[in-house]
Amino acid sequence: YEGLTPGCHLHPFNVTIRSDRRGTCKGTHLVYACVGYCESSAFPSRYSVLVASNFTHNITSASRCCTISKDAKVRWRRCSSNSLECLLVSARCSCPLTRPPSGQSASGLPSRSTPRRNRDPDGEGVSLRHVPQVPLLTRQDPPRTNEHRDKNQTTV
Amino acid sequence: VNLRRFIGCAVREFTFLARKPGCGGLHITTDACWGRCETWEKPVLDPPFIESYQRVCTYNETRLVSVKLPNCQPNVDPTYTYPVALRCDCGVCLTSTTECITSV
Repeated sequence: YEGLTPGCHLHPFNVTIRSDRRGTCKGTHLVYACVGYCESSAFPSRYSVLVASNFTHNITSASRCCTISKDAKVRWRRCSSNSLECLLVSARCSCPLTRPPSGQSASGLPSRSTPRRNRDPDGEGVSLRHVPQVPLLTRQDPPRTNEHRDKNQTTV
Repeated sequence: VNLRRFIGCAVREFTFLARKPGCGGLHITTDACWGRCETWEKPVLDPPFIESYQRVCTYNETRLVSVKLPNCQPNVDPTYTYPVALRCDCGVCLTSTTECITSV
């Protein structure tokens, strides 16, 4: 997989279909998966979530996943019985972007920290405290620890 | 950093309203996690006919911070504790510690 771009895209791959138990009669079909990088975020849970989880869920994760939004059927003929078989394959992919609403909403998502940032749905101009050098799933070294100091807050 | 093209998971500032019954609210700006992690779905021959891989940008290392909420009633503890992200990573959403909200 080479497409390191945001979004959710069709990605071809081969599937091998064996039509008898010994696998002597088999064929390869090109089908599609949905592969991509979708927005996700995690933030402190609302108090109602804390209470409902007996104070075990102090983090809320809101995410979108790259999914098959529409499928199609691929047909092939069994060589042993000459019957038609079907395989559902991806025809369209979906990865709608996460859009945290402004303020504390019913969904529990927090707002970004300034009004300007709230008008900036793609986050341009928002600072990232730690940005990895390479995509995280292929990164081996741990990220740098972020310094966070706030004199009004105390560490428990 | 061009966030429109950003791939990965990073610490990012978020502001939320800390509140609980019997106290006033307090806007808190803290470090949380944001990014884009790899997810996929592919068709397979056997039930349930879909195989999926889902990783989300979430806390990898945290510290807890406590603040005191304003205008609390006498019988209400004003302390409000929340996690601050020290490191974020793409990973499985752990339902043991995390409220996982995934929508398609």
